[in-house]
Amino acid sequence: MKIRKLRHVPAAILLIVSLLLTAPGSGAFVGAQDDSASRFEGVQVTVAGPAGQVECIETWANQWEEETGGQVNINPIPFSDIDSKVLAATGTDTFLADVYYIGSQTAGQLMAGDHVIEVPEELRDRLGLDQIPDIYNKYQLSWNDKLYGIPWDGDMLMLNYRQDLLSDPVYQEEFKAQYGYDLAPPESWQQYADIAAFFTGKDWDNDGAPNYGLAELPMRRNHAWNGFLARAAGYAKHPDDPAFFFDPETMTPRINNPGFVKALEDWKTALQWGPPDMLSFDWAGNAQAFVGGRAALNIQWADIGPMSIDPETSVVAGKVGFGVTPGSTEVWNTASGEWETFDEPNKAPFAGFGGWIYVVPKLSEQPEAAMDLATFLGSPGVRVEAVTTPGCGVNPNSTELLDPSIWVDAGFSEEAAQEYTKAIQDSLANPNVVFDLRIPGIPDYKDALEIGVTKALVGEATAQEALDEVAAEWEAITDRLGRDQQVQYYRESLGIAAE
Amino acid sequence: MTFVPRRQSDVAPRSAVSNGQRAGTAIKGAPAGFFLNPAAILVLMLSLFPFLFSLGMTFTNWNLLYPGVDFRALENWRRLFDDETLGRAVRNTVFFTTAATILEYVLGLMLAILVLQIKRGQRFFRLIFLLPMMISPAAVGYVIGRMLFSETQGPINNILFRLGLPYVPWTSNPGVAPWTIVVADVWQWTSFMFVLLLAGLQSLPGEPFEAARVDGASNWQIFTQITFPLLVPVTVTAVLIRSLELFKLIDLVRVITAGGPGTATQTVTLYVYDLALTRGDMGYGATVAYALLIIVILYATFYLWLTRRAVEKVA
Repeated sequence: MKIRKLRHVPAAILLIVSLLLTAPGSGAFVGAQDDSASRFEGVQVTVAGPAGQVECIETWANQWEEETGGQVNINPIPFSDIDSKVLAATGTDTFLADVYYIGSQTAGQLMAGDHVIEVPEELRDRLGLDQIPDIYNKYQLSWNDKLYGIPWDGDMLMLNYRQDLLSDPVYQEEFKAQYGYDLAPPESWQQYADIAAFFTGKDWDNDGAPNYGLAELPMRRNHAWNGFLARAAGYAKHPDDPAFFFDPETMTPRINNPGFVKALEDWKTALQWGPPDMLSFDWAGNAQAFVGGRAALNIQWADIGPMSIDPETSVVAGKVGFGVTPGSTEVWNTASGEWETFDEPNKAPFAGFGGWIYVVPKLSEQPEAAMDLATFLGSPGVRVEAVTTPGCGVNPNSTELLDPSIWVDAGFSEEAAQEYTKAIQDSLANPNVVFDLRIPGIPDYKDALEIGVTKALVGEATAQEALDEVAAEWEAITDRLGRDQQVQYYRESLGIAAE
Repeated sequence: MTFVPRRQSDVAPRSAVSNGQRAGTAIKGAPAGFFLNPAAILVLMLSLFPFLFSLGMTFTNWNLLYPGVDFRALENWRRLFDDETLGRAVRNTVFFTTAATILEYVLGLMLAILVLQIKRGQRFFRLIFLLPMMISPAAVGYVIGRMLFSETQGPINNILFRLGLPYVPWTSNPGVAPWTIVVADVWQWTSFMFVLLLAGLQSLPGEPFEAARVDGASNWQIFTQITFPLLVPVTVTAVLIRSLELFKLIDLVRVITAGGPGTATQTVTLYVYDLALTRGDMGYGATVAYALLIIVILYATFYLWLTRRAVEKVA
């Protein structure tokens, strides 16, 4: 009798273990080694991402459906709400989607809080990780050397300029007479200011309306964070110091040090050379001002490249040059507390926003299928198609996507393709590159900075006053979230936790 | 032109009152609680519970984005007094409320008086003037604030440019942007004032106006000494309702300027939205919402006290 009862024990254990491993929402992941065409037959996977971009994955999602029998539901969420919706779902243990198509900043918070599933070893070969530059492998996709993110997009603020205007002999002669040096793509923010001032008011398209020197991103609640930090990095990111935003020992903000203050003062001065409504430029407004032919210089992500050759949106096809964001010869050294003068401009490209990636939350109801779908979407073959599709908002994030021939095939001239890929490559390879902040509290830190920066830009406060207020608010945020914990997160985000 | 209103009806039909009384007697004997309790319980659940729950939230550090909730006593309430962004938002909200309410009242009254003079087509104009009120504020914000007032692409600046007039930074200048919001709000909500004031004018008794005419009073004298004082009860209601709505302004601002440039158009409700839904800071967000409630209650109390005194003086 006893023996007969015990006969069922191994089977019961097996049943319980298998149920635990496959239970929806358990977060447990079973490696997808089954390659059959029906391995996810009837399984529904929901992908939540930014409206206007996530819909772009439909073509490849259909391919995955055909290959696996699964079904993909796309849940577009307005750009301005996506971070809060994902974080609120996480904070309240509510299912939102099986796959998040999300920015690196928010993804960092999810990784730090252990809310997402690590990418299984057996699926990593799909991703071509050896082609992904260190900056993305280390700061975008991983946390504490564990891979949670699946590559999709690479984000680097860069300089876009009107090649045709800067190489025009008449303008070159006039510029040299006025400023005493050759007109060329700007290497420093000072040169950038001179060129912007020079072109402001000129009617190079002969439409009767004056054009502008630059188009940037100073709008609060949009990209003022990125627009400001892309400029400030050159002044305040010292090459010998891995930290930029905070002191990594104490979380004391550096945002009001003389480097950031000088950057804000210069930015305010530069506004006069942009379109008068630039303070309300969102991402699209900035892009349209440049590809619409109204501005000579532009700070934006690499999206401008594909947009500039799209005949439906651009009047500057074949007229655009690309470069690393300018730097500064005057650099603030936090360690010495003094300005240092460099012979060459200190360039510190800013990986603002950090790029969209995929993560599979532990709250996923179909973690296995979700990881399979996400790693399919993040595979190099899909990424090549995505980066060259205008409107997808996907920028190159790996070396194979920086092969100029891909861009020539997409419609770039040979010269533009070389310059475009070189600018991105040089930015990624720059040892002084700054990856965006991605610790818990980022919505608070970001809003506080954007309020302060825009107050200074419109004259509600001086640059120093505004940034002092920001620093005080950042201190309060850090205290509310727990200083010791924040120090740990910040150090982990920089990859210096063990030091 | 005359401001003498036309009388629409003399008295309410008496039969309605007596019918209501008869209906009341029909259910006499049934326990009142039987009928009242379900409704009372529903109201308590739907209004009192959220009210008390959100009040409780103000004493916590509840943040949607991070796990765990701790009791923080009055920390959020103390934070109100050091919050410069909130101070600016309160000032902006008071400005929007004052400027928009005054403009809407003046324009609404002018329109109502004009429409009252029209013998034919009054219904047509009433409908036309009502249309803006029926449009979603987000659509109004987009069409007026983002398209018409677009600084480089919009038709208004284009017309100014062609007339040789200076360009106006409608949404990017901190001094001008608040007025752009006011213009959009006035465009949409003047019709609300118009409807109430027109109804008020139509219900005024005719005798005082006829007597004033016989005594040789001018139109201006009739307006200032008869029409306006008689309209005070309607005015009090219309201004109170509209100003309470304006204290909660968010939609137009969110669409047109998103609170910028800087914090020039940040309103209290938009700040609450930012705190609670963007930053997930439910504890402090609820505290700011309560602060707004307190401000609105103080305002409404003061306003009603002031108008009651004014009415007593007129009487």
